[in-house]
Amino acid sequence: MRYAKAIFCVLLIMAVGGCGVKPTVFLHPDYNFRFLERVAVVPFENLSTDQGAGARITQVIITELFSSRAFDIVEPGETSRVLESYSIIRTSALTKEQIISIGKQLNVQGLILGTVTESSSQRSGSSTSNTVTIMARMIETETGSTIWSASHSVNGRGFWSSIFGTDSKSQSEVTRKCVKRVIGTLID
Amino acid sequence: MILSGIAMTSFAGEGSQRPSATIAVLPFANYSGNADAQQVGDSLILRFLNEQGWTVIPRDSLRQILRKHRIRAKNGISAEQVAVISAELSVDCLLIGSFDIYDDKEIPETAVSFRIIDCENQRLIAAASSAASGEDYAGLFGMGRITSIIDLNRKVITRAFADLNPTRIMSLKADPDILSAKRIAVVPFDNFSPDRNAGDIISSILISELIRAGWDVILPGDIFQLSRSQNRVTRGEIDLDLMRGLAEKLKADYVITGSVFDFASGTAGVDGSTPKIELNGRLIDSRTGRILSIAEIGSRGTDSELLFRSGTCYSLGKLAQKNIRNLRKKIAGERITNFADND
Repeated sequence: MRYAKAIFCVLLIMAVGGCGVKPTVFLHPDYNFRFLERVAVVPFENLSTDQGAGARITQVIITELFSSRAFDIVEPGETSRVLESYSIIRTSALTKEQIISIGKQLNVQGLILGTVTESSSQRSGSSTSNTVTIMARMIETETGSTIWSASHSVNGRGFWSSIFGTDSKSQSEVTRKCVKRVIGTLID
Repeated sequence: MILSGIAMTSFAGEGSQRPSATIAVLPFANYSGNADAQQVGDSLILRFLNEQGWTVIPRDSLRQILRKHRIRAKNGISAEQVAVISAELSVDCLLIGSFDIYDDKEIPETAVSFRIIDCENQRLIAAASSAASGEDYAGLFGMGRITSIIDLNRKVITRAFADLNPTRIMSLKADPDILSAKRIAVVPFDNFSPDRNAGDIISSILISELIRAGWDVILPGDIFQLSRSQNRVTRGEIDLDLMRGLAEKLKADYVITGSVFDFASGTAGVDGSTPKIELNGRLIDSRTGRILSIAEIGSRGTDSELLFRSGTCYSLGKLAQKNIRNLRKKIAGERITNFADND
């Protein structure tokens, strides 16, 4: 009986441990987030080898933000049009003046920018392990200062799939999980 | 929905006096990547139309008109082009469509979508999408499984064209429900899946689904022409200039667009995998540019599995139709008369 309890405790700890780490978050202590009514999502920069990961994750973020009903989201096509007029190559390198100006043009209080640092699939034997890592931040368009930032990494190969060799999560499931967790730090 | 609600009338007894309705079949877009789809599909479609009682405009006559007016668009013809063809050929309806899937593997799979344009009003009035995998007919101990793509294609096209009789279609031309329906523009979906035509296939199925649900869907060729006049190719997103154009020039009330993330066939059979799809879509108010609703939809063929693989969906086209229907219900519901009430 004692052994059974010990095994159960070990499994429980491993299961909880397998849930992974929480996102790393920064929230501006003095900023009133209720001020945010409308935000725009700038296409995420892609530093991974997975072509299209930036655009794909941007779409998932927009869906997640809209579903939260926390604020209005600018139609991505309009965001792209305004960004095109600035001939910006790297969205992560926007200057403070550009951010303020873009904010005025899009009539938004916040811009969400970010980077996909990893979006990969690794095969090990008959199973595939998918990993997604993103860094996101929100910049307030009146002053150009960062009011929220979060980074997180999710691996589709969870505790149970590692132990029992069951199928791990697909790339899109991993992406959605990662985005949900990152956005959760802003909305909750 | 509208289609099913319309009372069927018959030409019986008067068929000999009335001239039959005329239809011109434009070359279908081939998204399947297999040239056989066009060859096999075209002859089957022509046969079904003749059997249904349509007078089909000879292909050579149509080809001459298309060449004369430099009309190249297949799945994306504009209202202006419809008017030109109609004036030249005095035709009642145009049939456009696409061969979405034509996979001649061990257990074949096909999918087709089509739409009928009323030449008088230059509007889409009827549509259907049909898809199947040979595995769908397996039945008990797999005895009914279809392994010939020709046989499967015949079944799929028969099903798609089942309700395409001229009486029904001609009655739709004056249907007040269609003439007063809200107008919606489908901006082609962006594609992040490995299948290079997934965005077009999903857009095509969505257009069919919206027409079936009673929306007045703007001709894709009109949207293409408008975006080309603004020197852009729009996919998956739309800016305010184009939105304004859609609202003012094409009288669109709403716009739908989105992205396809996953679109993959499965391999049928005992050890096979099943298809999977993942996409998102959003409904935008064309007058304000405001996103009204957004949804992410995804499923695998095994999601509907009950016991011992029964209920499993093996056809990517069928799974796509199911997901598109869910997407439409989530973001656009039935025909919207006043979206503000639903928002």
